[in-house]
Amino acid sequence: MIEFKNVYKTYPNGFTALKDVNLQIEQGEFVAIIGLSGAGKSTILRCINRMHDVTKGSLTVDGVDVNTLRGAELRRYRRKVGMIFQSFNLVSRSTAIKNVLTADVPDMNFFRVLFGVFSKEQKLRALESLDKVGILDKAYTRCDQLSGGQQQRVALARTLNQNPKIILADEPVASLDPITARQVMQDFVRINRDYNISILLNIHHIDLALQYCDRVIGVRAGEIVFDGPASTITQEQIDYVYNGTKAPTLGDGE
Amino acid sequence: MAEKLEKLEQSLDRKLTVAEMYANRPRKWLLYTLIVLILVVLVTWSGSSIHFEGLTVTGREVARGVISGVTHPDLKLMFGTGETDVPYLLLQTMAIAVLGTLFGAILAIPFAFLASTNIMPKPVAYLFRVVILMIRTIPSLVWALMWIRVTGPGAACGVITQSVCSIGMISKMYITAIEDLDTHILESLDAMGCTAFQKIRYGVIPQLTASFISATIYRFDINLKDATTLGIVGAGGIGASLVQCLNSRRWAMVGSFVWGLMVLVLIIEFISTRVRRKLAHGE
Amino acid sequence: MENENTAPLKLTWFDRIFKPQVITLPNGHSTVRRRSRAPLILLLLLIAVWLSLQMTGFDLSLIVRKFNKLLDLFVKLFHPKWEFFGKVVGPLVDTIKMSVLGTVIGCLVALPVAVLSSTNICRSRIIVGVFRFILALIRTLPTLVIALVCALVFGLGTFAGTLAIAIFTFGIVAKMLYESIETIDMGPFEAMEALGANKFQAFWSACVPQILPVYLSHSLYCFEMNVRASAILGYVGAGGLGITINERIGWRDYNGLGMVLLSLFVVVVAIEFFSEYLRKKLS
Repeated sequence: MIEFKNVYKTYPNGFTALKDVNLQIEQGEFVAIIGLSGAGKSTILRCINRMHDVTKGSLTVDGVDVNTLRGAELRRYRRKVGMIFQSFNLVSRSTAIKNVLTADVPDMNFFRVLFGVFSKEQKLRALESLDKVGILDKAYTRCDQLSGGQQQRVALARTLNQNPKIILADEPVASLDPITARQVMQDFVRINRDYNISILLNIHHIDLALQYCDRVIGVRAGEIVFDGPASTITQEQIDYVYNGTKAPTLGDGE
Repeated sequence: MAEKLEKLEQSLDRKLTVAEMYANRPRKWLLYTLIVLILVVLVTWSGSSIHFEGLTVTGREVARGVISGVTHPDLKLMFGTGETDVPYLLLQTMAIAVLGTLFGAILAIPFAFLASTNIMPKPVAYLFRVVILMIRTIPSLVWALMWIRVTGPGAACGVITQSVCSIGMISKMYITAIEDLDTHILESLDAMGCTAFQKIRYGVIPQLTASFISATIYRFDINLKDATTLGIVGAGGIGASLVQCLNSRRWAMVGSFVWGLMVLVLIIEFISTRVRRKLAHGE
Repeated sequence: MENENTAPLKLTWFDRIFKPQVITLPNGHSTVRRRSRAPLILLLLLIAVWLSLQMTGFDLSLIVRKFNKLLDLFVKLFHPKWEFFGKVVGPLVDTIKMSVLGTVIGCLVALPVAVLSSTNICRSRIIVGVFRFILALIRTLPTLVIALVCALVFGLGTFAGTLAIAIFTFGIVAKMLYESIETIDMGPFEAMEALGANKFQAFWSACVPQILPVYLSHSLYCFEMNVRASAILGYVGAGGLGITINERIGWRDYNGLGMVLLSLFVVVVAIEFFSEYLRKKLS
């Protein structure tokens, strides 16, 4: 369970990204965070795995106060939280399986890390992760040969390979075409359902959020202005989240 | 240019007329005229001290000799297996280039990291850039002449020369690769719980190896051509024999050396281009 | 999940010898993994390095043993004999003159040849093939060998050096230029032809404006290289700084050599800055 209690976040340049955020997310929920660019969506995600520090308030995950974690403890905690990025963040010159195997690296001893020695079990598990997202046949292909959707699936497989309890996805479909975006969203739904992994994703396309996610959180200027099941949100509430401007949908064609 | 016009429109607070647009047309020809003018001046200045004094007495004979040599190479020399024959000398030239490039590529790694502005503080980086520039400016033949004084003539001297010369260019290419590093990957490794060492091993090194290998192969290409000239000053390889034959006017032998050189260089150039394309774009 | 049917693996000779491995997961899904080429490449490389070590007789202890000599050389290099500068100026100016004139001549000749060797403008495959072959041959010949032949034919002096640089420049600029010409946009050319212009008019007004900046930038790049290259041509008697360098090394006057190299360094750096500035202006 992820719990935000009166969380404030102020960046070193003085910009306050989060103001008094209170949230509770149960294990296995599928949550979409919507809002304008700069409203604080990314900050919420990045606070959860401590890529950013919380300035005030408390943030606990499964009863552990994230802000107290240091060094090795923090790294061990991050193993449980997978993160997916808009730009995939793969080593494009390595094969898909090598990228997936990097998820095992933090648990290996120094010499295995240095020489890149992976056991047969690790390799098979990596292949299974690739199979879970349906690109087993691309396992030995270099990532720069894959399409955007396939690369995002490799990134998803890499995250699955670290056996996370939570997956944070920062604009995972923003650089994909509409059809691929839908396929990747379906992958998320399936993983959420089959493995009971909590998924939090930032998303620009309101229609995708409403179609695939269970719960929607609307962020506006660092404050949570909507929090409820995706089926109950009304047009006025969406308009309020987006500050009166038109909410972006897939049809806009980014 | 377009900005200048926009500014002008703003200051006048109206659209420009056709005549005004014409008056403010971009004058690229000015640049070109200037270039041509500079060129003319430079050429007349430099032409003044370079005199054509006609062919030397033996010039005609040399020219005829070279042509006859190339058309009638010494086949025995060309396909022989002795230590003075073309195949052996070509192999030795290649050996110099292989070792020179390998050592140069290894030596260039510390230089490149020390001279990268995104890793090192600026003053240190610029200091090492000057050092790299110095290595690059001194022609390889001068390096060879200096090393011969230290190590004595022979192929080993050629290897040392090339190791040093290669540092300049290879590290310059490495620096480009290092400064183009994609740091997003480090972010995701960080989110995965990797230590600094693990981030370097799995985030930085896989990105660099392909570029580094590509730079090394490119330099091997150049070193091979360079190694052929090193022999002229006595640093091993095919060059020494070629120059000896030229000076003693044994044209058929010159012909076989030239043919051997051309074939070797063309083959290596072809292979290196293909391998580098494969490294850059995958299979 | 949709079942994408992937294209069958393209098998190379390597895959035929080392059969790809089929990996089957517990759930029955399977994937094909090609055998890694890395061990084979590494093995070949090791053999090449071992053979090269044998052939060149390279020995690291050589450097260690001669370290004192090396140190002496470098200490003297970095204490240039300033009063020697007077004797450097003349040959240095000669070197610059040689490279200016050589570059200009080489580039002028390269332009038409490059046009004739680009497949998108010259439709005749025979002409393209012949010119490209000639260019490839010229590029394989070391500059120093060209200079030596020129010196034998035209007598010692700057003329031979200029000619050698011109030939060398011609080979490189023509190659870089035809590669750039092949990437230009042919739309305007076809539009001009559709308007009723003949081939030359269409080429002049549609292609030349696209080629010209690239051509100038290649020429400048080549000029940079030539200044460095022409500094050594004197070694074979083709005029310029090379004679002085050879002399200084011959007399073990490393302080004087330091002065020569320092002046060369300054000139090369100045030219590189200037040419980089111009190239930025052009693009």
